[in-house]
Amino acid sequence: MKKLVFLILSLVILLSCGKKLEQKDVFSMSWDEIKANAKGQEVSITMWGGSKEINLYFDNFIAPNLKEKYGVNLRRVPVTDIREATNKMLVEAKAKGKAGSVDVIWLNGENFHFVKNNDLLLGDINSILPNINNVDKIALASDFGEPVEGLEAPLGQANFIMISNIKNPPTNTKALKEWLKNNKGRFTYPNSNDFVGNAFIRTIAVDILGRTDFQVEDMKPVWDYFNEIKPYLWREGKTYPESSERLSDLFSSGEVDFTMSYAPSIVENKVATGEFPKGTSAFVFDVGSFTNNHYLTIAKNTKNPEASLVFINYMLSEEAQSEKLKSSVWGDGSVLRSLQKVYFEPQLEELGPKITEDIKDEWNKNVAQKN
Amino acid sequence: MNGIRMWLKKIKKHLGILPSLVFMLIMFWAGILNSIKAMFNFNLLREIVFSREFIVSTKYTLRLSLFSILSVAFVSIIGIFILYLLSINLSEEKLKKIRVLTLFPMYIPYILAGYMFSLILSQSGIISTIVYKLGFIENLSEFPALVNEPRGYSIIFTYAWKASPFIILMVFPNILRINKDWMDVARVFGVGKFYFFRKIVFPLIMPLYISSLFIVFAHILSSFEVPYLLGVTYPRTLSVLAYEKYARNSVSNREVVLVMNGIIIFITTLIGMIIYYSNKSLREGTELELEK
Repeated sequence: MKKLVFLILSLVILLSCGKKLEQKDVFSMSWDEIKANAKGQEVSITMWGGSKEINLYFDNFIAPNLKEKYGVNLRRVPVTDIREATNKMLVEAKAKGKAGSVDVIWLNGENFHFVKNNDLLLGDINSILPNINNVDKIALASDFGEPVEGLEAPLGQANFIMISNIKNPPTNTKALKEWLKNNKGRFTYPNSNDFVGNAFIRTIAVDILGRTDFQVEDMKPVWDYFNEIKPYLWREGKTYPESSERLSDLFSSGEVDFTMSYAPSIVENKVATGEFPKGTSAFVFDVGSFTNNHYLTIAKNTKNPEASLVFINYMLSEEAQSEKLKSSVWGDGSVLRSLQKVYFEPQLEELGPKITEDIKDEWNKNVAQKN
Repeated sequence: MNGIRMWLKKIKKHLGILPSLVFMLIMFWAGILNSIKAMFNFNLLREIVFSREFIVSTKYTLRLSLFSILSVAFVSIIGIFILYLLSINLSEEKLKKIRVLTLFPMYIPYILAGYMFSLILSQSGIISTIVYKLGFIENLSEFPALVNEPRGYSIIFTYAWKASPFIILMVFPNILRINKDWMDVARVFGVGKFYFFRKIVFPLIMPLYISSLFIVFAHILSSFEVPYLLGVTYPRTLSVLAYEKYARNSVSNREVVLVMNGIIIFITTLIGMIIYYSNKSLREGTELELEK
C-alpha cells in the first residue's frame, strides 16, 4: 500500500514537472522593449556540433560579445543530426502551455519544411529583426523551394562555384565544349549522386534550356550535350569521380584543370596549405551560381523569445557576419549584401528536391551507361 | 517451488549472453530476415532481376570477385610456399616473427588500403611520377589507367594484398604442425622439397585453404568500400548499386535495396553451400590418408 502511494505521488510530481510557459507576445513589443527584456536571459542554440571551427566561433566569439553587448547568455546545445531536435520539438509541442527545451535552432531545407508544416515555429520573426534589412533578398524568399514567410532568418550562404587555375576559364556551355576539344582529358565532374556533381549538371541544364522551371523529361538536349563532351573528358567519360573531394584530389595532383565546390572558402584554405596550385581562383558560369542558405529560427514554445530575437539579430550584424566569413574562422558565405563577393553573381535559386533526385537516375541512364 | 528455483538458477547462467543475443537478433538477423522477406514481393523481384542495370552489375560483381579470389589464391599459395621453405630451416621463434611481418596488411582497414592503392597506382600516383621522373614516359597520362577503370585492376590488387595474409594466418598453424621427422624420412627416400610440398603439405592444408578462400570470396562479393573508391561510375558492383539507391532521400527505394541485399545473401549462401559440401568430402579424404 505504502509503495503504491509513493508511486502515485512520484508520478504526480513527475507529471507536473516542466516549467509553465509564461511567454509574452513579442510581436506587439518595440525593439527597445525586447532588448530590455532580453537582458539577463539565457538563450540556447540547438545546432549540429560536428565542426570544431564552428563550435569555436560560437563559444569564443559570439557568446562573449552577446554577453557584453546585450547581457544575454548563450548556451550551445550540440546534436549530431538536427532531426533529433526537430522530432523533440514535435513531441514537446504536444504538451501545451509548457516550455520546450529548444530556443533557437539552426536548420534549412527539408528540416525547415518539417517544423514549418507542423506549426512548431514562433512566427514571422523577420518582421521584428532590425538587421534583416541588410540581408540578401533571395535568402529571404525561399529555402530549397519552401517559402520562408519570415519564419526563419538566414545565417549563411553556400554558393556553387567552379575552381580553376587556368586563365580565362570557359563560363558557358559553348565555350566549355570548345575548351574541352583543345584540352582533351583535362576536365571532369562528380557523378550525379554527389551533391556538387548534381549542381554542376543543373547549372549546365539551366544554361542549355534557358530556364529554371524545367522537368527531367525536358532534359534530352542536356543529356545530348553531356554525351557530346564525353570523349573529351578525363578518362573519356568512362568513369566520373564519386565525390567533389575526389575531384579536388585530381585537381591537386594535376590530372585535371578544374574542380568545383559549394564552399567558396575552400579555395583560399587549400591554396594556403599548398594543396591547390598558386593562382587558383573561383568563378561562376554566366547563368549563375546555385545558392542556398542555412537559417536560424525560434521554437514556438521557447521560454526566452526576447533573448532569442536579440541573439539572431546579432548574428545578422556586420560584426558577426564578417568574422564568420574569415576562412580561418569558419569561411561561411555571408548573407549581408555588403559582404557578399561580386564574383558569385548572378545567383541562381536552388531547384526543388524532386528534380535533383530525378537527375540522379536519369543522368546514370542517359549519360553514364551510354557508351 | 524448488523446481522453479533450479530453473531460475539454470537460466541465470545463460542470462549473461542475453545482451549480445538481443543485439544480434535486432541488428543483424533482423536485417537479413527483412531482406529475405522483401524478396517475396515477386513483382518487385522480377522487376529488379530483369532490369539491365542489375544484370550488368551482377555480371560485373561476379567477374570482379572471381578474378580477385584467383589472385588471392595465387598470391597466398606463393606466400605459403615461401613460409614452408623457411619453416624447414628456421626455428619456430624466428618463424613467428616473420609471420607477424607478413600479417602487416591485415592491420590496415580495407578503405585505407583502397586509398593507398589509388595513391600508388593512379595516373598521377607515386609509381607514375617515378616513371615520369626517370624519363620512361613523357606525360603523366601515358601511364596506364589502373585506378577507376572498368577492368578493376586496382581492386584486384587491393584484395590480393589485403586478403592473402588472412589465408596465410589461417593455414600457418597447419604448416607448423607438420612433423619434422616426416621431412627427414622423405629426404632419406630422396624426395625433393617441392615434391614434399605438393604431395604432403598441400593436401594437408587444402581444406582450410579452400574454406578460408571462401570466407574471403564471400567478403569480396558483398564488400563495398574498395569498389566504391576504386571502381567506375558504370558498371557498379551490386553493393555499390544498393548503397547508392539507399543513400537517397526517398523511402520508396528501401524495398529495392532490401531485395538487392537479399540477392547478395542468396548468392553468397549458395556458393558457401557448394564449397561446404565439396570440402567435407575433401576433409574426410585427408583424414583417411593421415590414418594410413
